Amino acid sequence: MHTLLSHPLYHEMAAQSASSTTLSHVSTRVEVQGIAAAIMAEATSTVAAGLTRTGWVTSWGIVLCLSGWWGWVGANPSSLGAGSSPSCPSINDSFSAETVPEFRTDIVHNEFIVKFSGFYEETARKNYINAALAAFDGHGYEIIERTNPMARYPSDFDVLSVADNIISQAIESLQSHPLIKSITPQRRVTRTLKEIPVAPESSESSHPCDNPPDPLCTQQTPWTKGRRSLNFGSSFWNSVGRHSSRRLLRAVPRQITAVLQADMMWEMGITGAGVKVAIFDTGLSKTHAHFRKIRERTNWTNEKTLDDGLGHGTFVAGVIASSSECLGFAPDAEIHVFRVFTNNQVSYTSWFLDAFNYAIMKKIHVLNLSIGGPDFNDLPFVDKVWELTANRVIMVSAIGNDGPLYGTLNNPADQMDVIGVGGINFDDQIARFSSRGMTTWELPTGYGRVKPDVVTYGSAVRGSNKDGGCRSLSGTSVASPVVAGAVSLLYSGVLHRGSVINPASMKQCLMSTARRLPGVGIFEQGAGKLDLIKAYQCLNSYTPQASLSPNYIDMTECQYFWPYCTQPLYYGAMPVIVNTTIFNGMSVSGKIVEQPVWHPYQPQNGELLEVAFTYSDVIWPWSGYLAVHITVKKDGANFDGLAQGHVSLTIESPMEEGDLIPRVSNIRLPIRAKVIPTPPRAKRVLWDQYHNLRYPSGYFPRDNLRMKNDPLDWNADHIHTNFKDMYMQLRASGFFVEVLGVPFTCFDASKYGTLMIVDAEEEYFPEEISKLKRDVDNGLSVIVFADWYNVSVMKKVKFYDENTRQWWIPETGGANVPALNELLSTWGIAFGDTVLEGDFTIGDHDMFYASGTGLVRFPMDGVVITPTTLKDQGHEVLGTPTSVEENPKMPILGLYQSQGTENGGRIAVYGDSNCIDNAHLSKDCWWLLDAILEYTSAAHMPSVFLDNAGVPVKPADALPQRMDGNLLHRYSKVLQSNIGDNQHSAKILPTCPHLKWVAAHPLNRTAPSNLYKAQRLLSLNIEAPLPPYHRQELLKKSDGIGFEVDDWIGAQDSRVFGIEDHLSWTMFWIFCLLCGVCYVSYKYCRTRFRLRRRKPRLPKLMPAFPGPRNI
Amino acid sequence: MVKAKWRLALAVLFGTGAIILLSKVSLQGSTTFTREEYGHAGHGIQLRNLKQPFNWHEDQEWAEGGGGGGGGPPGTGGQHNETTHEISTCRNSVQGKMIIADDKGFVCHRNDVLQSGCCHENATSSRRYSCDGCSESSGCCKVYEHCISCCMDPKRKPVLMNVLNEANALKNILLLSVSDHFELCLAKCRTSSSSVHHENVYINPMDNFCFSKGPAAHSEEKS
Repeated sequence: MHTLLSHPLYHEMAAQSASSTTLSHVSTRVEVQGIAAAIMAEATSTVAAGLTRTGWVTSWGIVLCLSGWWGWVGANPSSLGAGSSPSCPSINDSFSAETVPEFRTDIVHNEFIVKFSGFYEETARKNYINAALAAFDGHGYEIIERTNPMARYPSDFDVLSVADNIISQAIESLQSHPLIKSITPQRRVTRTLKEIPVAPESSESSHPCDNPPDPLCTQQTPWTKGRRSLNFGSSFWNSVGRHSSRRLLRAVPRQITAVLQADMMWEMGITGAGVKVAIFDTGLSKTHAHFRKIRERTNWTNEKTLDDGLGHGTFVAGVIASSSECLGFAPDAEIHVFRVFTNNQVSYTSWFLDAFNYAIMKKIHVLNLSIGGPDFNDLPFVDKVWELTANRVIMVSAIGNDGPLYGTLNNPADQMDVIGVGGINFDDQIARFSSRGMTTWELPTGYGRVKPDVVTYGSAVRGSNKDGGCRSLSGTSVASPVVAGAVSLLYSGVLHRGSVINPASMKQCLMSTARRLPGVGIFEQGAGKLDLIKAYQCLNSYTPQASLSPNYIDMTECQYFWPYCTQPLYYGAMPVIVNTTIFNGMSVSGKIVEQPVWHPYQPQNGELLEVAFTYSDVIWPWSGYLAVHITVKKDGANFDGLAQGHVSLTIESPMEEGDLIPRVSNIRLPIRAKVIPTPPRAKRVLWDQYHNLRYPSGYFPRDNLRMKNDPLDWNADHIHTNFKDMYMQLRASGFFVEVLGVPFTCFDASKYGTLMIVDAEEEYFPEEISKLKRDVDNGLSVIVFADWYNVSVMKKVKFYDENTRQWWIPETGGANVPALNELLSTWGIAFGDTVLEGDFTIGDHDMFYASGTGLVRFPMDGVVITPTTLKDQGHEVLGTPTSVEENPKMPILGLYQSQGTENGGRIAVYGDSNCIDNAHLSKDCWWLLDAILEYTSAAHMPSVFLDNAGVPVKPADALPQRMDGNLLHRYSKVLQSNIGDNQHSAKILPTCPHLKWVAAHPLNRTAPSNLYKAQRLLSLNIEAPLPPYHRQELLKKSDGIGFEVDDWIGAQDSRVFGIEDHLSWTMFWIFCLLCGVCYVSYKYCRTRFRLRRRKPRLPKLMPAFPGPRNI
Repeated sequence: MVKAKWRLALAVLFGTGAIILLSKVSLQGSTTFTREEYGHAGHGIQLRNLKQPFNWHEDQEWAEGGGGGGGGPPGTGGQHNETTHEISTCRNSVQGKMIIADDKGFVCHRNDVLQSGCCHENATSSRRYSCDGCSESSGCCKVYEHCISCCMDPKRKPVLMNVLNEANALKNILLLSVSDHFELCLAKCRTSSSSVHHENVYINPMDNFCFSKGPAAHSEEKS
């Protein structure tokens, strides 16, 4: 009933269910559905089976989507600028320049597909062609033999190779043959590649900056090239199918297992036996022909069935363990089916909790969760996932299908202890749908961790169909079981290693052996593409140890270290934070001994860096974090160059089996950073992160009211998440952007030209308001991008969340306009509560205003721009009738030079943030941002504003008020309790955090030029040949007898004890047989007895015996 | 004599069939046996019913200080196993961040866990039947491991019998799949569907781990 509020991802995919459960608060809903339906119709090779969630807040969506669906509105590649290239562009450039045109000319040139009008045997086809080309007497052409099994069957085509000199004649002759339908040039890619001297594949095998170490690669930074691109990164390269013409016909391998070389493991006798893998999904049929060992099925939903009504669970189980047709990785693994999603795609945290407890008790080895949701604040769930990992259950989960937007990671895949899996396609490009960006738990004060952990194939993968056979699906839901299946297979190969194999060691091996994809950032691919065989070798030689991920920090390495490589360090900047994850394969619990130590390399200017650490008190379960805060010392204020060093730390864990002393592991984290002289104040922009609030947990509504299926503002509003493009735009324009994660009272405004407050939902401390006034008087400029705010609209967009079983009412509008008005009141600036929407133009720039607000107060001596074509969207949302042709004429942009002091800063306000926010970007306004920054930082009023300036505002009497009874204080860092009647009740201003810079322990050494290669897990020999595997052991473990399935349909069902029926039937048959045997023996004995003594009675009994008698 | 031979042949045929069937049944029995290691018996999900034997933990002679509480009535046949457990190894709560509870009812710091998996009984951090941070009235604890330790106290047997009875009534697969006292405590003390309201909020964030009925009984106030 509340699909209105369900996530677009789940929503669009579940075509049938979504459309059958339509409820529209707003009339335009139909359009959205319509688009989805149209896209659905176009998708050919894949089947939609994604799921929608009834509610938002704690619910878990099944992460699966259509490969053909590019539904993300803002992802119009044409709007992203041309020539976007990572900082090591040579590979990519040569790629496009050489291969693509050559493809078109080369392949076509002497191979042709001769199509017949019917299906004929090979010999018949040969005869026809020979007949048609009789003129050449068998010379100059050749029928290319097909060696595949299909060659035995009649076909309707042949591939003909024709010598150059006779092409045109041959084609003519062939066309004249009555049974030949058409002749088309051969387009097989495999053939082309042979003819292209520069094999593009080679570039995929290694990072372009890897070998040989290229100083240009490592030192070049994007801005020095003066690119204008937005650097959409790999998602740009990957999404638009830049090489689609070349790769179009590349055969998609039939079996996902073959692509990952699972066959090699099978040949060694490793097939998953002995491993218990749990599939938390929509259930699975007991009798499905693909599965050998469905060990147990349990139902945790309120539906009385164990079977899969959707196909999602079957598909996922198939990828893990199917043993026929479309093969899974571990066909002999014990499957434990946990049905936690109903056929209507409903699921609750509480169902998961109970099912998880059962999984712990069952001592499951590997658990796949092709599900996810944005609520990482669902503490009971998050705690439980930790608990599972702590109990040695290896958790594998899908990272989400909300890409290519950054800041879209799903829980639980974003947890450190879980293997979060992203999707790629068979061309080794990050699948567009795959969620990415850092985790957002740590904001605003910290910085996100790297996710996904690994990527693997998740696009157009074949797996089991619900009703038998196979089908193709796409989504990280697919990628997750690929990894879960691989992990199960790996686990079964190293069962003999006992407790050495645990969630941490498995993750360490998967990640340290993963193959890095070139030109793709760490926040998109994590460690890289899964390499099954290498991971197996790693696990075989693994010694318990701790490691970091990423295991080095090279802030000069683009694209991999995006965004660190996009902006160099300089003195006076907010510290850059790299949040590494610690994996501790020694024990579930451990700790960092004493403190990590910073060793700057003297010859490499390491001492110019100032380093501080924050880290987990206890590394549990199997994982923790080490955040490295880096900035430049005053000595380096004028330095330009690289600074290097390393961090060393020791991790200690309690004794485990066989130990005499606690386990200890030493880790080294190399660091390389580019340092530049401090840029001038005007070029420095400070992004206010502190005043951004988002879901989870509060209901902070979307900024674009038209995006009805994405009701929540959940991408963290960070320059490295949904404001990524804006950040890259600012960088390209030469600005240096830093992030403020603390109140306004905690930064030195004299260093910055402009403070950007965008889409802020938080309140302000009174001290912040007065501090900001002083700062502006002293020359700081402020840019505010506000958003819609209207109490009636807020009340209208409330919804009943079925998962938490309560009403959800927004805590603010798109932005917290009453709070912003208080902040801006010093300058006589205020926003209103009219919700504006529509197209308009400023000068010759087309603009779109997507649910914004307008100015109701602005100083008379400021410049305002007042479009006339905006509509009142509030009326539309509320369904109130609007009088015809009455567009509200409100200014939306205001520019003002503060008058307080001689060199006071400038204030620029704009009423809508959607045009700089990737989340629902339909029409960007980078030019506007550039122009505003020109005004705020250089005090130069662009002519486009002056030329289009409107009449000054007549100040409004009343300003928008805070909604009565709102619960903002629950989520606010500022409010003590509720604001009633505009009464502030702010908390005590927190003291500004001060990092404790660690003492340096300099070393007289230099780092290798390539940090990536220098780092590996310790004492691993993954290049060695595959170790022999003891098949005996395996056979012992797998029982050859048919597997019984344990079913538990749920507490409601009396069939819980149904097993007794099963038993009694067996007993019944045994009894019957025994009776038969007894009877026969009795007869036999009697017969013998009688033959000797009492012949006369014999005939009387014999008829009962079905012997060949003639009596 | 021809007839007799026929009969003999048929008898052999039937006999063979019977042997095959029986052997198959007995082999199934053996898989069932391996399954019992994981805590539940029978095939299909056969849930425990109250008549089945259950290994109740009993106080041993060195039960000093901590528990003391007079040991419940003798369990049904688990005593022997229990003794062998004590000598060889312990199962423990595995997951703890800092502390671990073992199947003898001890709770101790991770560093004091012996190779056998048991808590070092004489270590300063070791406590037996520790109910630190547990509320006797609600039967809930702040810390999972203390909940287990508290729950292992033989005097909890009546409370746990109630838990089992209730689980039986509700056909709670988890609690009915456990095979002994320690497994019951491990499973019962975990947070579960009865620990949350509005799905994503703990009813009682401070007392999450309950060996008796659960937090719902005393603090759930849903509108």
